[in-house]
Amino acid sequence: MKENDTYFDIYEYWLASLAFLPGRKKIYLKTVFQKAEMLYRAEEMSLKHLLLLTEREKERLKEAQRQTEKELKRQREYCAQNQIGLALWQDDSYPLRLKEIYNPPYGLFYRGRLPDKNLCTVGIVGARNCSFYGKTAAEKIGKELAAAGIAVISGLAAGIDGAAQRGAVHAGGYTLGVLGNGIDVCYPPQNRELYEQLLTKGCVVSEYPPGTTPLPGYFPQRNRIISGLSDCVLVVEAREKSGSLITADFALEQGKDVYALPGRISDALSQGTNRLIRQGAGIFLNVEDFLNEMHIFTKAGDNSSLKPKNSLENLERLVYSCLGFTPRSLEYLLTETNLSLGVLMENLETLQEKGCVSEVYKNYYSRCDI
Amino acid sequence: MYSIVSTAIVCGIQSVLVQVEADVCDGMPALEMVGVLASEVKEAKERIRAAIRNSGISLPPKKITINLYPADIRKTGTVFDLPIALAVLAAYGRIPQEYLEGILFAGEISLNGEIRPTSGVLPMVLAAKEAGKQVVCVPRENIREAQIVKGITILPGENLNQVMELIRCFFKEGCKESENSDNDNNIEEMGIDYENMDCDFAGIHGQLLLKRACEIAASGRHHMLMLGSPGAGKTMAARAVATILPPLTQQEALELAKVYSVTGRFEQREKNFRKRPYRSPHHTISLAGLAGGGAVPKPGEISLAHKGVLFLDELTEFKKPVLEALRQPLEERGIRLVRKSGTYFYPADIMLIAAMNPCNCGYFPDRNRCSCSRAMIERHLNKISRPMLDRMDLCVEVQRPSLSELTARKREETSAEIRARVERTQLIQQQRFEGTGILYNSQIPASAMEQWCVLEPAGERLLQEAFEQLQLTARGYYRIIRVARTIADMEGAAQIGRSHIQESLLFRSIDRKVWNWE
Repeated sequence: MKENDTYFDIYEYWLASLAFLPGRKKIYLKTVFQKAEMLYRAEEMSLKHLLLLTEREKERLKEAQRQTEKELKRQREYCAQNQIGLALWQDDSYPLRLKEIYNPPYGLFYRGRLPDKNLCTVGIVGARNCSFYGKTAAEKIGKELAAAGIAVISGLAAGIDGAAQRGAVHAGGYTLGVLGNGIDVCYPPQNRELYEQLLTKGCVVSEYPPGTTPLPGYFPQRNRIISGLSDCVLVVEAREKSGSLITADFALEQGKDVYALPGRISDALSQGTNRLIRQGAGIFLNVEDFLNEMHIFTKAGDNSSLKPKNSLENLERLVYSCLGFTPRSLEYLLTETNLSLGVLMENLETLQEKGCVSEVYKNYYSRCDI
Repeated sequence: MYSIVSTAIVCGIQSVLVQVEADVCDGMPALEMVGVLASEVKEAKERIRAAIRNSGISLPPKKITINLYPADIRKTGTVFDLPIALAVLAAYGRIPQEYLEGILFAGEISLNGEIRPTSGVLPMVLAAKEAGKQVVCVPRENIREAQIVKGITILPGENLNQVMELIRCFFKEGCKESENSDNDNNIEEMGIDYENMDCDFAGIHGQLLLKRACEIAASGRHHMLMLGSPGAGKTMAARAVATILPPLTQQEALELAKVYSVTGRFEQREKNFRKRPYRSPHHTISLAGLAGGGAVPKPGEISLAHKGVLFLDELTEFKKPVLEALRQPLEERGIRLVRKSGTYFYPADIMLIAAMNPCNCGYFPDRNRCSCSRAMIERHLNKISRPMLDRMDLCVEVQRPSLSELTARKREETSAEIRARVERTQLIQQQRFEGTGILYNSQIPASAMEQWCVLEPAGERLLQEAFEQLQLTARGYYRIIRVARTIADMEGAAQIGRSHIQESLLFRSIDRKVWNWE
């Protein structure tokens, strides 16, 4: 990490961490005052003439000016200790793609390595409470995109986001997580392992200062950064009303392509994605097709993995045919296959060994070879 | 003059003999009662005064002293009215003392001299028999309860005058109208009216796994947890389990009858004396209601379900302290309640069946209907503590049956057929455990595992794999072996094979680890 990176200007840090001001207003302030320090020391008189700021914002700005330099230095020290970098809007390290969007974040806190300018990026987003099918699909897509040398951008959330990034990490690719809270806060906690992996193999970014706790209002804002950093956005699973659709809206505003994974019309978790397709979003069939459409020609995915389906025994094939990508209960399989419990269990066991089937929850089985 | 009458007091489900002494002498007219009395016993003073007068007996004003001993037991309950009245009459010389010898009296008296029914008659009669009494006199309404005890003469009391006449006749002419001779209503010999039970396994369509789990649970008396969406048939299955349990043995039935007797609910056992009880308290139940309690402890639902089924529907809705109170009684098969007035033991050898939804909305893992987040589901499951889950031997997921299953007119097995198998499996267990005090596989202690649960090598291998993979606890490990033992017994296998372990693993407890999300 570069030295001037870690030991950033405390006044810039102060400006970047003002959560009540949108990024574009910070950029406006910066152009007016030239230096963040000037704004920090600005008299009440000079604040009065700022046209773009509301009265309320001016009030809060005055309040924020009371933050002492000692405190700011202490926070800089904390960032230095935890290798938290700050990329400012005017910096070279600031991602070019973000500069082009409406209301870009003024400062981007990050841990890890920011993406290269010419790296192709795809945002993968979806429901937190996803289905097993969605999770498996997201993981597979993440893995194959990463193998094709494409960076996966997502929100490091539970469900689809995490699964896609996990897939990318698994394939050894670059992936970036945009947080809706302080960069040093791991939320949701069950993603701790993934978070740690991103620190070394990818990057975590946030526009909120370290220590910010997750608030519901922050996450929609975070989505504009996900879409902003991506060349195109893929929605894997979304309900009729879903935060993932906000990301898709941002992507469209920002002029990015939106792709959706089609699903059955009866699945609640495909209502949102199907509607996107109805509205004109691209249909995601498989990674190869997707990359062709994006005019990226790589040795896409390892489709060489032999289809284990072909090596199944008769009874295994029977059990396998009763399974789908939605979890099926053992009860269902018993009645459907008409096998005895012992025989059914034996076959499920071998199917699991062959990697065709997985026990999703206790006594619920699903295919896992999409 | 002095007189003495025997009676008894109920303490837990045991009974202790109490003597009532009365002394009548000249002096200021008064009626004094001593001997650590509860207020309802002190009130007997007014009741018997009126009852004696209204029975047409007039007593000259004298100083009457009544003492109840042993003095170190607090006397509660209303059984003392009749013995006190008789003691007073005897002390006045209206009844010869020798009429009262060898007879135990119990009963409440109303102001007009009628004898009213009371609770706890069965333990009292048993205590009387043990103490060598030949005769007991109890309220007529309690007569059937008293008749369970053989080898003792029962005199039915209706009112004060009739009782005086009765004991006179009995003294003069012996056991003339022995109530025990009319054996036409011998409730002990009565079979169980299985036919008229309101639920039968034949009425449950499909649900193969659930039925299998119920049969295993009933065979080895394992505790069972059902997990399923609303309306999947969990409650129905729990009721049906009661219909596949073999009848109570004579001794068990008697013990259970005592519990019902002390709560004044003997009539509930009367018709189906050997039927195993099925209790399903609502989830708003209080701690005392479930486990037993009160200033003078009364048995709770766990004791009323002794030797039978206690069904807790909507397990997650029960108050946490109420559920946790179950832990120790489940291990000890009884509950010991300690009060200032003494220690009360109530038996509670129950088979616990519980039902709950897998998440708040109840539809997980059907993601089309359930949008509960992981945190919500975990919070829901966390309402049941780990130690409580650890005690559930079988855990089965229940799914709503499909329409085709409901409408398919397939013949389902009846409860009677299943019960025959359960009885056979239980017989195997009883032969194995003969002389050890253990009755069922669920009671095998960890120390005796090696002796009774011999695993075939293939079964052992599978269990070892599962132990690693599922990260079982020691308790969970033994639980799986116990259930596998029952499954093996159902097949009549001497050793536990691979298939038995495999099936037992199906019914392993829900575990946060197993709900693999990420």
